[in-house]
Amino acid sequence: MHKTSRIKQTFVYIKKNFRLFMNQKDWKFIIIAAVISLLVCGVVGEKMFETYESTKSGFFAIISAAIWIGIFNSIQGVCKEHDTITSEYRSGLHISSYVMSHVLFDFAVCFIQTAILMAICCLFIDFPSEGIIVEGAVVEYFLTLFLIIWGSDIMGIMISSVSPNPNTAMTAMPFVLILQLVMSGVLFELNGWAEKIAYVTYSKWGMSALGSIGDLNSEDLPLKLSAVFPNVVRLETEAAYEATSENLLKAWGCILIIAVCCTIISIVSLKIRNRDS
Amino acid sequence: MDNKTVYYKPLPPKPATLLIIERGKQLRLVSLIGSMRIGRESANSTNDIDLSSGIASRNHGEIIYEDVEGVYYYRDNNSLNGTFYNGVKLEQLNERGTRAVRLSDGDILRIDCDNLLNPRSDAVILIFSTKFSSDEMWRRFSLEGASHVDIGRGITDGISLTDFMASRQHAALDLIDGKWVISDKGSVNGLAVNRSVLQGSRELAVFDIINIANTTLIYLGSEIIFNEVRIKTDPQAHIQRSVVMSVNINEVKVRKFNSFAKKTLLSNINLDVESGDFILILGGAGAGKTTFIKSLMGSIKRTGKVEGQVLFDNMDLYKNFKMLKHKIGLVPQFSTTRDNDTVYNTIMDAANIKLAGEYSGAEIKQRVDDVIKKLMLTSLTGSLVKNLSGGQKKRVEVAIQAIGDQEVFVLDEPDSGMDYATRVDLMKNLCSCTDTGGVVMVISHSPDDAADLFTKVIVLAKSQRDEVGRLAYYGDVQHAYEFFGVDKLSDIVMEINYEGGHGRGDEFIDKFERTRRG
Repeated sequence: MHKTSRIKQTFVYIKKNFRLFMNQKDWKFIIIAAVISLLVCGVVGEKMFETYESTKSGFFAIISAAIWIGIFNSIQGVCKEHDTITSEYRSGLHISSYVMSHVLFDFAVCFIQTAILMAICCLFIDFPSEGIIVEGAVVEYFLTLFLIIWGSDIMGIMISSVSPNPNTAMTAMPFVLILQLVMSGVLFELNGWAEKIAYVTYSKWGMSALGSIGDLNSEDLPLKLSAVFPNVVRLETEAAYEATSENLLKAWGCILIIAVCCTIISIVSLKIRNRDS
Repeated sequence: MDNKTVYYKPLPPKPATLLIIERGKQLRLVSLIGSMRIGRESANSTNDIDLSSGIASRNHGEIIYEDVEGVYYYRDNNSLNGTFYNGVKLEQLNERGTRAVRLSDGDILRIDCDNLLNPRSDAVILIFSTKFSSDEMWRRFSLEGASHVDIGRGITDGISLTDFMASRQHAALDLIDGKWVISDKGSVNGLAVNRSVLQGSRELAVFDIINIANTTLIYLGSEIIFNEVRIKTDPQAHIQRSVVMSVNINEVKVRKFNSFAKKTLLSNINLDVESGDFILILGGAGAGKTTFIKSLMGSIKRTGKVEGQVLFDNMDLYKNFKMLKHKIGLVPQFSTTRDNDTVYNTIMDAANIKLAGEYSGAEIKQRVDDVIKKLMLTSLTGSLVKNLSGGQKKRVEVAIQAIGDQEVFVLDEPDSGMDYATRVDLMKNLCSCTDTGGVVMVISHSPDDAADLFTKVIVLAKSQRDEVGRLAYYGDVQHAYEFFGVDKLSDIVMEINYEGGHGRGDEFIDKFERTRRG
């Protein structure tokens, strides 16, 4: 016995997601993303790439905004449809097709949101032109931010899948965001178990990627104190921000691995929920 | 419990059919209407079922209907050549005939000579079924000279099925070492041989019964006979009733909240559901209505344990859950459709999910159009679901379920929160779904709005003795009024309820039990 092909079902749901996106005005998430981008870039933009601290804080703020945009896209998407999923699963729905349709459709939404974020960033921030892997650093910034937004979106799908209802999902959202912010390693130095947990956060790998592209270890980014005390210089560089292609690819790879894990957890949790339907 | 004699009014015979196979004759389906005599045709025959074969006696045997239990029996009337029951010859018991054997679905009676290893060509085969309908067309397919036969929907070479739910390449028969072997060719809905889902392939024995969706195929050695399933859109197409679902639940237990201990919620539920039934499920608070529905759906196994079985098309629902779950559609109390999609897209997507792997785009569109027409949704196809009335939404949900050719629809309080006119309209719509042989079961707290539409009522009551839900009545609406001594269906709940009612639940549970026993 086999069910209707997974690929066909995925396309059925992608089309449905698009119709619902238009009919229930989900495009407002794109406007929200634009507003957030505008706020963040407006605040951090001018001082970016002046000092080490301002650049690092700027990256942190942009990553925080990207994670928020991504999670907010999808946090309620699955949990509000649990009863519908159960009914459709009984009729032959593949859970993997359902989850993949969200992942793939949100790919497009996140791409647009990243484009808006990058466009606004470019208005306020004077990015260095040279990248690590490709010539234009903007491309690398774009790809990094896209991976963070899309990955966070998939994390939102995961939270939504395991949550019994939208209220629970929305309650969980701040905790997840705080965890992401704390584990970025920007606000606090992480040691022991906290350092281990940080390995499964987008913020850590996002900071690593942006820090690499922006070359936070560069002597061209002096400490704030250096302006007053020119003799104060950074003696040690941070390995996480090494401006090497290996470091950048590793950060991108880790973001993708976390996203894949979130996708798998979403599928498994929905299958468990509907196992006897 | 009082000790009075209970007036027992016999119910009409359960629908059943005898498929008769005789050499040189068309396949015949005879509806059993109680006890019937079988014998060779003659000028002054008084038999109900005449056979033409010379080896049948004039007064060969008889079908006996036991109306208390609702069971059919067969007895050979000491005929000259006798009768084989599932391959075993019935032995003479006394001067009247052999012992009477209880007939179950798929049982084979064979009028033949003593040696079954050398069967006569003019033997008569009678197959008992509660599923076959006498208005069905049956066809023969000869296996003589063939070594491979494909079975599928609309195929040109092989056994071509008309059943919409059969796959194009559903199964195949291969002659291996002189034996026919059947295999599933990756069908969507699977197949069962002798009520067991087929995994891979298996060798066929004579009289094996193969179920593919709604089609029954019977292997007779040199040929396969099978029924032609028609698309049931014409209410007149459904004439003969058949048993769709047989519920024989001894006990349903579920795990208590915050505990490993299990509590019995339902006990002793035995009833048959027939095609075309529009059934009302009534019961007071905690009587087990939802548990009963979950038992019918098979989903109770997630949290509980069922002792007993639910037979669907004579196959155990719990053992063959993956194959049978598509035949029962649940429309929950709260809408499961997406508000911001149109009616047409909602139904079309449901069709694509269920059928896209096996059917062409044109076939799916045709199917969707048929269902939309059948449920009178044509004028609403472009509307968003959120803009529909409660009744219209329910019709959309039934349409989604009907796409897959579901035979049974269970609706949990579909009329809650609706005004009177909408409730009546909804019930009429739901009732029309049974015109083509489907079964609709409804839990409703406003049953009197459309009381005349229901063909049967299931009343569940919670016993005060053990806090377990039991069957307090199952039968038609008119008898329900008499049974409970009420004028309205809603008063039944008042009679059986302990909280806020007259607290006569146990009295009616006992009365119904005695009535059943006669």
